Amino acid sequence: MSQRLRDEQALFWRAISWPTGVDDFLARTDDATREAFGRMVTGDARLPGPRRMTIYAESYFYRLADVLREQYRVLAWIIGPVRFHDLATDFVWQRPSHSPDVRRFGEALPDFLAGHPLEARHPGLGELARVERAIVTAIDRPDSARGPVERSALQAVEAERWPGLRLRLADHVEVLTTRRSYPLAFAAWRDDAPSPDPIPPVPEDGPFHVLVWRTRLEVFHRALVPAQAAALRALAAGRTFEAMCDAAVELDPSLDPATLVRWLGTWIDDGLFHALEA
Amino acid sequence: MLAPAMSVRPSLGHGVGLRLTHYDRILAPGADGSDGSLAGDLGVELVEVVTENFFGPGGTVPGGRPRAVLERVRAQVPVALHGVSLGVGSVDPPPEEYLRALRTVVDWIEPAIVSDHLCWGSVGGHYAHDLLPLPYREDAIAVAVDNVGRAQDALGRRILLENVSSYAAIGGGTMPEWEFLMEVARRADCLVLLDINNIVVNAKNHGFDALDYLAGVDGDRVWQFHLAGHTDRGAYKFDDHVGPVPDEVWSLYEAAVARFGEVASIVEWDQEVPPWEVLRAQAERARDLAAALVGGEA
Repeated sequence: MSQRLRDEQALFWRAISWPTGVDDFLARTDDATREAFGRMVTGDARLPGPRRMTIYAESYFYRLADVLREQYRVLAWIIGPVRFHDLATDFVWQRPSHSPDVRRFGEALPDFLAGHPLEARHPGLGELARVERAIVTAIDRPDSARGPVERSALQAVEAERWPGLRLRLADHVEVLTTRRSYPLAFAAWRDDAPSPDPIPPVPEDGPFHVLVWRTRLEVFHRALVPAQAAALRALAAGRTFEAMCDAAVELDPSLDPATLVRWLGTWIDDGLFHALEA
Repeated sequence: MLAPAMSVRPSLGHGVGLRLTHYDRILAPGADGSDGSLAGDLGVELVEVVTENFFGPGGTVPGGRPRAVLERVRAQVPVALHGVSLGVGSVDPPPEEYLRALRTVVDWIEPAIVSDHLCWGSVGGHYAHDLLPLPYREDAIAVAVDNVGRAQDALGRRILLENVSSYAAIGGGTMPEWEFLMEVARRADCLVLLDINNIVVNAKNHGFDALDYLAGVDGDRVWQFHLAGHTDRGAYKFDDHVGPVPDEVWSLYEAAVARFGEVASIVEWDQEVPPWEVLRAQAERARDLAAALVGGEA
């Protein structure tokens, strides 16, 4: 393996990923690195070496910033283009991509936000990003080998077998819990609408629960009441219908069996389950 | 030497690169009341997709929308899988998990062509997600040949390598770009995806004659062309795949067809992506120009 090539690629990488640009990188680095850069990048009067490298540096940043903007569209809208640009700059610099699949680049943004000054000033942005991430990643999760469970399959289960009934959630179903409620943010977001200024505060009066799922080709999300979230989590844990009911009633003793069966019917219509074991 | 699936350049026709913008068209119910199958609606002979867009979680076959789109396209026309992250020029070899994911997509979709770029893109485990330039030197050839070999062994088939646009010549190069490209292809026994637009861009950025480039290419290894637009920024040309294929690129394409004969082509249009019909018209122009030069049905 060529050490020269390895050194060149490492230097190239440092130059294009320097957060304040190639010229600043060259100004701040040592003489030996500047000389190595001069040997590596051949320029001319029309386009000097640092300017040529800047083309790559700008492409590097804007490509990744665009990926973030595409994956976190509501977050980008809420905080506005200037703050989002600054956030993207920090993220690209501090969390460079470690995957050949660029779509995975932004997966750490929700956790990154948790320790970012923006989150300290506007609490809850990390949670919003986590909900958006779940929506983005639901689109290509593997399809279930078996089709969604239909109402007819449920209706065919004999009454005495219902307590032991198990319904398996499909891989594309996720239940998230947040401390703040974001339906208004999603409802208000429009690509062509101006960003709110200042960023609207969202009170911490949760917990709130969000269901993210996919029909065959489209991703949906919906708020859940706590008892619904508990019921779905019981099913996700492989527990029986009886245990699901217990989990829900524990949170809301006023629930009646008809309500629970209605929820189940809605979730079946949504295609949340890929297997039924009676 | 790897046994090629096909030893003679296949006639795959002319097509376009599929982008996210077009997914809705692919998936929308057909005007004939069908369930959304294309039913000849694409109107092109070949479709190219970005390979990594069809990597499912953990290197599985994807589900949902990507799967539905690609399976519907594949049911209608041959597919070219065009990767952007193999990075054959990276000193660090491509990760095994990447090669496994690539093999999964290839086995699933059985593409007519598998291609990537003659460039590097990662170092020390960091990915630039860009097509970064190599020095035209012996040590870079050795790295690229080694990594192409890994990919071809993993896939059990030959891949096509594309010449990339570049803005900086990496120091100490000892040969022109075309010689570098052909030397890698010859030693790795791989094929070439000749990007006509990238030659036009590099001719300006590095000051060579685009026809000299064509003269230095072994046509037997050229199995595909790329056609695209770029932006002239005065001091240099920027390869942004925006707008229709410019006249300068069409002219070089005609010279390439005259030199190499009928070769499959793909039109790439990645910024401000137009309606499918506009894109399709570009592919039709590529087909018509080739037919006028080498015969065949227009």
